[in-house]
Amino acid sequence: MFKTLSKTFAISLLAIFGASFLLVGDSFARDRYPEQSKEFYVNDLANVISEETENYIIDCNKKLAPSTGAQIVVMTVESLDGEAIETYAHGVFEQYGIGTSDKNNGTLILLSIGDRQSRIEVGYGAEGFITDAGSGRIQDNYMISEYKNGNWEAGLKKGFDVILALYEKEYEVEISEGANIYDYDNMPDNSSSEEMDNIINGFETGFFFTMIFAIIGKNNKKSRIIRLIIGAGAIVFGILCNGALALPALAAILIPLGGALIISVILSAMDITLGSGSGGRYYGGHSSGGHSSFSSGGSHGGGGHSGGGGSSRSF
Amino acid sequence: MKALFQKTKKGVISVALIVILAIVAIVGILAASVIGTYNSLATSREAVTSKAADIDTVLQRRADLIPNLVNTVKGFTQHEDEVIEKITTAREHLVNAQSLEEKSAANAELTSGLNALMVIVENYPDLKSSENFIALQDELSGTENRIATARHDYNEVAKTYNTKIQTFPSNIIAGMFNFEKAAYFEADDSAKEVPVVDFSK
Repeated sequence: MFKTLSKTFAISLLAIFGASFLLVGDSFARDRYPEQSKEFYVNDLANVISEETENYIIDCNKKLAPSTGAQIVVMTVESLDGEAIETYAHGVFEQYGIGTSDKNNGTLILLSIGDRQSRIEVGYGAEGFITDAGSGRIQDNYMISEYKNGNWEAGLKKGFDVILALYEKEYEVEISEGANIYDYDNMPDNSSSEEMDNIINGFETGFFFTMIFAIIGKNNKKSRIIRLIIGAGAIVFGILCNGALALPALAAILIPLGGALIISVILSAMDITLGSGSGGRYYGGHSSGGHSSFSSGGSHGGGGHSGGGGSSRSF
Repeated sequence: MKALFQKTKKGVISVALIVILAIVAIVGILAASVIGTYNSLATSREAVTSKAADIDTVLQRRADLIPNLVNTVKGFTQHEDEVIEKITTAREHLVNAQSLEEKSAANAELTSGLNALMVIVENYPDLKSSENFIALQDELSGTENRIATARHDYNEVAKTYNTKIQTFPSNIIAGMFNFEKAAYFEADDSAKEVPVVDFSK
């Protein structure tokens, strides 16, 4: 009788958990702006930059990033689709997470060919040495005249070089040929709120696993072996992409039915109250990629933010 | 305790155990709920306070740019006292504003004054093309963009917070612990108007 009751309880809790997904509604934030290119630093959607210049920009960034965490991203688009270039640039900046999250020292150079507008968006941490007026002067003196003649690539490269020089001066580095290429796949990119996201995600998933085991788990030898195998697999998978997953999976194996039920109940209570609070996968928010990333080559943003600093130009 | 588990009738053991487990579970849920909800509310309120401070920072930045702007304009123009006066007064209102509503209104007033100034500047090509003025314009635009960003971020956290303190069941906890509603930072309605300047004066 106890087993039947607890199984019913477990199934109904699972149902509530499942329903909470429906209540939260559009839980998974869709990316609003074009997805970043694989190499991250050049997003040439208007296809006006030669491969040589692309490689140059990427190379310089790879040399700049290790010691400074800074990222200078170049992006071209055919059209802003009716959006103001200020909000577009800020949106891209936040979505890509340009610069590291602790320094916020990224810069975005954006060019819209169709709208004939240009913008340099500067992260919080770079505003000190790339002021609004300074970024305006850069565009006026180095980029706009090229743009007016349709020399998109020349304008972008000049602007990039000037900005790079400002970074070199600020951080006292030289982007020379002799620098070593850092292992950029391991660039730290988790802000603390993301870790919280991951832990909450881990608990949710762990709770899910625990509930399933609570239902199907008989305490005979065969079931224990199956749970052990599934649990071990979950732990390995969890450690690979999300460390916190491992803990509940471990609990699910070791604790027999009654204990698993109590833990499930407490986790579900936490989940219902906390899940609609801060963090959790329900809010896309500002952090770049609350998703686990199996990065197979290519670079990505460090989670940096901008406050809207920089300047725009029409030509 | 031992007696409970040594009863010969299996049925009695099961019932006692179930009751105990149920009580533990219910207490557990209640405690976790209250704690979880309160913490969630407190965190949300702190986010609102933090974003409100961000707004203050960018508004102050805008106010700080005005004296320089006024001096530059005075250097190139004559008899534009009305517009300059309007901007200077609006800046004072902004600096002295206390509540979010006051700040919002003063900010809109300043925007209106600056719009009027930009219309006048069209008559002074030397001013318009001076590097100093261009730099100031960039700084002002940048600041206004920052205000827009800060406004957006603030209103988002304010909305999240206000929703929490009004929806069931967190509204109960919110009431118990006196969580007050947060004001919204309204947009500049005046930014949509282009003021007409009377050139006959």
